[in-house]
Amino acid sequence: MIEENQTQFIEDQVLWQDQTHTVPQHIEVPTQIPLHTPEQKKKKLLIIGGSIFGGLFVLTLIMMMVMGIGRNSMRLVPETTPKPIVKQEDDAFTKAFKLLQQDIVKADPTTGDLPFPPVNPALYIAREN
Amino acid sequence: MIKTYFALTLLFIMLVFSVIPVRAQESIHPSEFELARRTYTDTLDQYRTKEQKFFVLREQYKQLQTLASLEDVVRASKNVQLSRIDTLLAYFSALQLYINDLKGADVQKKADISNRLQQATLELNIAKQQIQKATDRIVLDKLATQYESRNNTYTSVAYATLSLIRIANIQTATDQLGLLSSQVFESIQQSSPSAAVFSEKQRGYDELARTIGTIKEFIAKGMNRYESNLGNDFTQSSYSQLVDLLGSGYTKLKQGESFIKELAQ
Repeated sequence: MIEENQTQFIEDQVLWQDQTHTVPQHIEVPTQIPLHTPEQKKKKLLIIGGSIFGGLFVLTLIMMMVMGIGRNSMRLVPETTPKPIVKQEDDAFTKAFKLLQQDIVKADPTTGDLPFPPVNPALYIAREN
Repeated sequence: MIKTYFALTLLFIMLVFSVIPVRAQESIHPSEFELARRTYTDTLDQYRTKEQKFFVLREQYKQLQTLASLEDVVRASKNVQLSRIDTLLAYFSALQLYINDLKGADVQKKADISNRLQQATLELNIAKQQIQKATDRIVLDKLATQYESRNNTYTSVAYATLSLIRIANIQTATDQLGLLSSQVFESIQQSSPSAAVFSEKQRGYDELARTIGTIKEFIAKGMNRYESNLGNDFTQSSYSQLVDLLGSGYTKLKQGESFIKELAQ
């Protein structure tokens, strides 16, 4: 068992003691020191929460800009002189001609789709290719 | 405090979901062929990476000649050979889907090509199983030899399929051109134009008919070449010759396109 007062010898005697200034043997130290008051805690929590939501809001704005929502929402603003949208129906020839054009594009033999895969036919460990 | 944050979170989620459009609605559903082609492209990319790794490790083995480097190159050889087969399987699967929906080709010719594709797929699957079982360099090199001896067959199947596709596509476009030219001329006749206008249109129609005739000649030549090549192996060279031949027909097809536009005016 370690003595609490390490500076005191077992058989030492007090030669002279000032009765008016006695040093207390044990000093009571509070186990929990309140670092922050409840108001400070609340303030800190508010700052953290505010930062998180602020960050998320900025992130949302960036996402909206990237995805072009900003442009779409701008279209919602009515123009001063709205132009009537006239949808023109293609006649029978135009429809058939468009189909023909698609077929012609597809028929181009020079724009060959799916050539044979460029794989190496000779993959040997101990033989030169 | 917690309630406030909960409300803010809810508000944020609502904001996000109300402003961000559902991207899935915008995307067009790709066809089965398109998906197969994407799979093929991905598989080919993976193959390239594995091939590169194999060459590096093979070089390392040649220089070091240690058991550890041999072990590495054996593993890489197995991976690259499997990847090569996966690439071809994905490629043939895409070709099969293309052939299934191909218009303008003879049904029997389509069926023959389909059988050849299925045969090649079957062979490749067997080879894949053998590679999966292989554990040493002797067996892997033996399987590599086996593949090399069959490579021309796979190339031939691929170029035969591509040749049929090219001929069929130009045939479809020519058929469409012929059909439309008849319809246009019929409507010209029904509109009762003046003698001078009708005569001009008649000459235009005749010229268009001659152009279609020329395209059909090129297609017939292409088909003859295709059939003669069926007996032998299709090569990249024979395929290129066919493409050149069909290219001349295609030039005429483009001319026919402009003729019909003029005729309809």
